[in-house]
Amino acid sequence: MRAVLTGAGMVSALGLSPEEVWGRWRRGETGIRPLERTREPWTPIAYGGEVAAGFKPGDHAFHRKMLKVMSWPVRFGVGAARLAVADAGGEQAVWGDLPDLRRGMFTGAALTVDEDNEFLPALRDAEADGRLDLVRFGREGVPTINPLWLVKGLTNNVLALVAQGYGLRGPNDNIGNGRAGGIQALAEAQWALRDGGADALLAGGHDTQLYMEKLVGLHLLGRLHPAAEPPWGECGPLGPGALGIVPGEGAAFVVVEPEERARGRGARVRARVLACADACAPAGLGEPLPVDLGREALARAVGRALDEAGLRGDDVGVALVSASGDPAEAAVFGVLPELLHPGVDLLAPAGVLGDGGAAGGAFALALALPVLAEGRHRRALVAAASDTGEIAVTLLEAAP
Amino acid sequence: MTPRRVAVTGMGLICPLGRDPEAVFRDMIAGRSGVSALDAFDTTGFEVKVAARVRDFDPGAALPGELGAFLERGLDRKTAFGLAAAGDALASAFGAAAPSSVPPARRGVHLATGLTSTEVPEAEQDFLAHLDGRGAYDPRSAGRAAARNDGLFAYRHMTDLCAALVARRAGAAGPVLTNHGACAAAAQAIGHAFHDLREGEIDLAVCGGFESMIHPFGVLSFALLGALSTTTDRPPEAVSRPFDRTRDGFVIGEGAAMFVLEPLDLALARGARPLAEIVGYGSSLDAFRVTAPAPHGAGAARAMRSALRDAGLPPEAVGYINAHGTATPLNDAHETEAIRAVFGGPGRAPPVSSTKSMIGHAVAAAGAVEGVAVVQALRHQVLPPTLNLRDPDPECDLDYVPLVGRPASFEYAVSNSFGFGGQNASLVFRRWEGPA
Repeated sequence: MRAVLTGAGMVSALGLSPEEVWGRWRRGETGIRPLERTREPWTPIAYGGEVAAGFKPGDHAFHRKMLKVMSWPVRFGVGAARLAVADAGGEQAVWGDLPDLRRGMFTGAALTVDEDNEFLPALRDAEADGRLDLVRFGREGVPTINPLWLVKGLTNNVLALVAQGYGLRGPNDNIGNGRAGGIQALAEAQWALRDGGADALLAGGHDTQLYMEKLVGLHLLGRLHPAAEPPWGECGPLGPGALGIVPGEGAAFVVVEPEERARGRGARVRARVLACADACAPAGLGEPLPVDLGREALARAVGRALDEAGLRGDDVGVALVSASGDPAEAAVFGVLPELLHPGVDLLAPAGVLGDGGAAGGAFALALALPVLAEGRHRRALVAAASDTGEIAVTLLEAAP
Repeated sequence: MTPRRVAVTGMGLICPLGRDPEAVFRDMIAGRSGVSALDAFDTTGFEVKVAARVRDFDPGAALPGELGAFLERGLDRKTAFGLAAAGDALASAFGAAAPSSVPPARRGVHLATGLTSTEVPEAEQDFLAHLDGRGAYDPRSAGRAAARNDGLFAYRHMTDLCAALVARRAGAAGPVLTNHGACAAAAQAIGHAFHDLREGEIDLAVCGGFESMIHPFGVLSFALLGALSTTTDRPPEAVSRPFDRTRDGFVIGEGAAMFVLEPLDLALARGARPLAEIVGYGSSLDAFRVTAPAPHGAGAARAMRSALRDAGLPPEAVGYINAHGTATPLNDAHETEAIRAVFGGPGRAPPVSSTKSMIGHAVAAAGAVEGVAVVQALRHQVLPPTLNLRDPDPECDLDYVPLVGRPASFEYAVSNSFGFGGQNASLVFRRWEGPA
């Protein structure tokens, strides 16, 4: 059984499909712009990859009334999943003939955020000399809080809502491994197909870095890009301009199914999944991805993927990576020409989308499809690294 | 590759009844409860008055050296639980030795946890301290204050950090995942580790879950949904009463449990003594509502059927089911329907019990903590009871092993975990019949 990708959807700062994003990227456009919806005036970051205003969550939600319990990254995730299904031929074509137990979904997700800080008024009203008066908070504040506050914060919301919308009742997982999660989701989906437990699945990731707590954290760790102006030089997050993270947000999902089924239903096969592999370079305390261990882990993962696919490094023409602008990540992914071949094209979508967090690996995965469709390269390596040292890779091949 | 048998060779447990799996199981069999008055904060203004807290846990003592100091300064309680339980599991499997016979790249870590844990001092520091003169929140002030903090601030809520630190401790350089499948998360993490081992992807896994939501905002989040018991006319230890006609919600718990899993042949070759085997895992999605189970427990039934299929077992092979059994009116009725659908009705379904009646609901860690109870039940051939089941709900008409443990002879047991969002997971454990 060979897993293939038959559809892809993206919600990003540069467009709502991998083709649109890749086309604009090729023309030299960038999605990194002055922040509007998510501007936090105290940070040095005035620019980021904020999802464009053209994204209308209401156009993608299964039920508009659910929007009130969908945070922005959840809206992105549901939107990208629906766009992927549409790209794969539509709901009926993708799921129509399948029992619901043979439809599944794997997601890479970060913690969902309380971006509206909905409980702040209740906290504020119970403040006494800088301390929280818990009795007042309980008696007066709690009744004012939206009862669905927890629901809005569930980390598996995209999985739950998309499953509900499409009647997906089969294999599933919600993985919280930062940028690596989206690619690990594809790996899990591929294994579910190979196990014979499913016939069609969604895989991808969603996230936002553009909210207060995350920006505070990145700022404190000194990981934000120091520039107050548009930050990237021509080399983007893999070159000397990799001085820090430019935050972004969004989601990307792909439809995964066995090649035989895809061909049988007349689907456009976008790419074959040749192999998936991962490896870990355990992070130290207060230290992101360690470069030496990260390179070793990347080498192991790439080696395993090449072995599984029966390929050599020079069989791979292009590598798309989740490099966020963090200098350690740039150094880790910078070893890819040694691992593959010196002429391999290296692409880092964060250069035009910002760091998508848990969407970062999924961005690279989805963008590999139009890159392969151009015909310059037959095979693509997609790689992502989490801040805690997990590295996930997949090898894709253009479909004949 | 022929699927390999997978053995549990180590366990670590931190739960409201203690940290020693043997002693905790003895307490369960005797029907002792870890539920007590909720004294983690002033509950005067809250309807919820009880919780199942882990007592006498000092992260600094539990995690000596660099990790302990780090945790004391910066990390949240659940991560400390997770690291301590993982350390215990590794010690249980390997003693003081490192698992040196397994190459690091063949060692994986699959953990599970839930939402972040914002404690009151953090809320005061991060929010209340930054109100302007009009009571509006001033992010500039927060930013300035945060800049004076140390870098550990950023790690406080990083939920995949525990897996990375466990990987470091286990010397694991293979796959490392953190699962966020709500209350099904730990069972899913264990299930994925089991599959990775069975299919030959790795040769050693540390897997399980860690959780702590016994703080005002954690309690609040479940209370707002009406999921927690608000009973006040019973002693705390009598509040969690799954399958009882008077049940009114779950008692929030906390803790962690970790397993070391190995391929059985490799474990025996190195002289390990298996505690049990894992033989099946199944997962399903309700695709119904985020906070309510599918009608008739259809999703739960699918997870159990899938796990039995994965194990290659007929329903009648199962001798015990550790239920999700939260004590919410909906869960227990729907889970009972699901068990009836898969295993048959009264007299045909195996005995079922809910250990949440004694240790509360450990949320994302529940599947792991309860997995330890299942392994102990198989080892000792005793069924843990459902405490406080004195007024059976007519809708819940199975054998729930009420009040005290019961000797039994059984080879296979199922452990159920169902989560908000409609994720369901079931694991099948097998008694280890070789030398213990």
